[in-house]
Amino acid sequence: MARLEILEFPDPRLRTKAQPVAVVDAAIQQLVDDMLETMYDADGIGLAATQVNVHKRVVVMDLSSAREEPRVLINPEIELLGATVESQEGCLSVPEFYEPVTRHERIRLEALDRDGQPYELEAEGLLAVCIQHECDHLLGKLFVDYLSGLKRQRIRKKLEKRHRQSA
Amino acid sequence: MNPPDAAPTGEAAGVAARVRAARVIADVLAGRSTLPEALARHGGADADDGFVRELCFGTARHAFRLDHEVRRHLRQAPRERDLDVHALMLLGGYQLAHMDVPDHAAVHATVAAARSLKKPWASGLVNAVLRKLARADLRADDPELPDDVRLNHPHWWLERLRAHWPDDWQALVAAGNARPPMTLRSHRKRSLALAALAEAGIEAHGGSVTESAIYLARPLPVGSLPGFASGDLSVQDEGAQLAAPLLGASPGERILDACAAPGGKALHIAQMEPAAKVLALDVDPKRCGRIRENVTRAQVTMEVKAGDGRQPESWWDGVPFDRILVDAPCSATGILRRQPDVRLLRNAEDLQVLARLQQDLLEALWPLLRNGGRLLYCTCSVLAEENDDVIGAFLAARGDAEGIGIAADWGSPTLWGRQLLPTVDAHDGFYFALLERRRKSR
Repeated sequence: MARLEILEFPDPRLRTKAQPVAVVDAAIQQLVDDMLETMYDADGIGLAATQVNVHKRVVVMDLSSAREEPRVLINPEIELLGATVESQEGCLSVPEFYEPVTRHERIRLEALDRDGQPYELEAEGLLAVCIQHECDHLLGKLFVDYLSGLKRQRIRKKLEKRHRQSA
Repeated sequence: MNPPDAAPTGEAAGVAARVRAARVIADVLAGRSTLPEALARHGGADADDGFVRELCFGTARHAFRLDHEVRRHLRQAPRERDLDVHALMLLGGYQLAHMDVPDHAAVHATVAAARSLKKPWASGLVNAVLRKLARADLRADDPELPDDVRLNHPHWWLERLRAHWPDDWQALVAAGNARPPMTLRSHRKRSLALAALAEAGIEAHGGSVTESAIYLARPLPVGSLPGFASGDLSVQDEGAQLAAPLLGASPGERILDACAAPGGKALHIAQMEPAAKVLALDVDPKRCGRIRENVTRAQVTMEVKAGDGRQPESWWDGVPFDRILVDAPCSATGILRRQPDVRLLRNAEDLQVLARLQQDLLEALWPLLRNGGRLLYCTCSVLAEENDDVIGAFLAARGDAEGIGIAADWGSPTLWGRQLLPTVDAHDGFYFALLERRRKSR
């Protein structure tokens, strides 16, 4: 397994639209394993392949407190259900910023698991928010896109400054 | 995505888990859904988050006692919209009395969870109540307590257990309050499966009622069991493993499992006799997906259809069946330990509704049986209303149905069938009655 580099906003590669996975083969499973390791290492609860510069429709998540319940979403398709709710979101590609984002409170998910087996799931609460957040990544979208232009610019400036300093 | 609370692991995660568990329990308390449904809705069932599950199942198991202890310290009954706060106090009590969480941590994290419910008054109340509970002994048996509180069973349930099983009712209560073992069915020779488990370092032993049951010393995720992926091992209670052999199956026979989801018994039939033509029917299309998962995993041939057993015209092709299994929806009084939320959701009136449904299923499905064919009726109930009473009424109404005695060394004979009572360490409670279709004699 290997830890992968996480791209950070405003890296233009985060805007790439991911392609569907044709076959869940050993290479995809390796990607899944590496992404899980990367996510756990970064204390994240979800990571999309886009964030590690692989532009395939692959997402890993783990919402459990014990960090022992990994979820794998390959070629996820979601249907938005219910009313909208606002909650705080943060992102491994926008480190240390948390802002309120409005999402649907419920979703229905269809995806493949690590073995390429299809499954369905209805989710609400944090799980539903996280799935919507990760599926946005696969479309080249970030949670900061939901914020006002002013707020987005401020985050962008601060991150660019941090990148310059660490470069 | 980053966790919404900036400190993602450790304390904050524990707080989030308690909030989730409280929402699940509140849904069950409100009678809105079963525990598995609520867990799925709040993102806990599929994740199988061990801690959230433990909080929810444990709180449901001890719900009556916990509710009583919490209410001692409340001035007024909780309002419907504040059931989440009430649920937090119940699961706080569960942590204090039954879990290894240190008291101060349980109180601290549960109060923090109350704070995040955005009800400013709640954290003070939860804090005060939990501190009082922490000083009390919530497990001590106290004969002064009302029976439902002391025994964690509703009154109507206890009344019936006492009436039906005067010698066994206390054992039934103990079994209902126990933690269930994880039970497997071995498709191949059990000694081989036990050897494979031992080799994988998994502690297990065989059951005594069947030749196929295996009990794990500790529950494990199914994915880690050697033989699960191939269908050699399936998760199934030992009592449920009696159904397929009782029904029987011969090559080429058409066999119907009329209430099949999640498919454990149908799978057993198909594995027992691969040359039989099994139709697994269930009224819930969603749950038919569970059956298909089982079919795919075990690589057996079986038709799976969504349909209501009471309306054969909507799914039956008109060719009679040789054998029919009616594993009827029931009170689940024999498997309370596996479905601890049943004590909160079921009431006495449900028994009449269920008995009607059981009757309707039998009446609708009986004409689908060929002459000389057999129907096995089973429930996971220990109450005669759903068992002998249903079969007795059915036999009285039909001239072409005859009860076949079940000779066995497990359970005890009843008027029309055989009853297996649940035990703490082994099988669940089941009722079986075997009927044969004869030419009309009157």
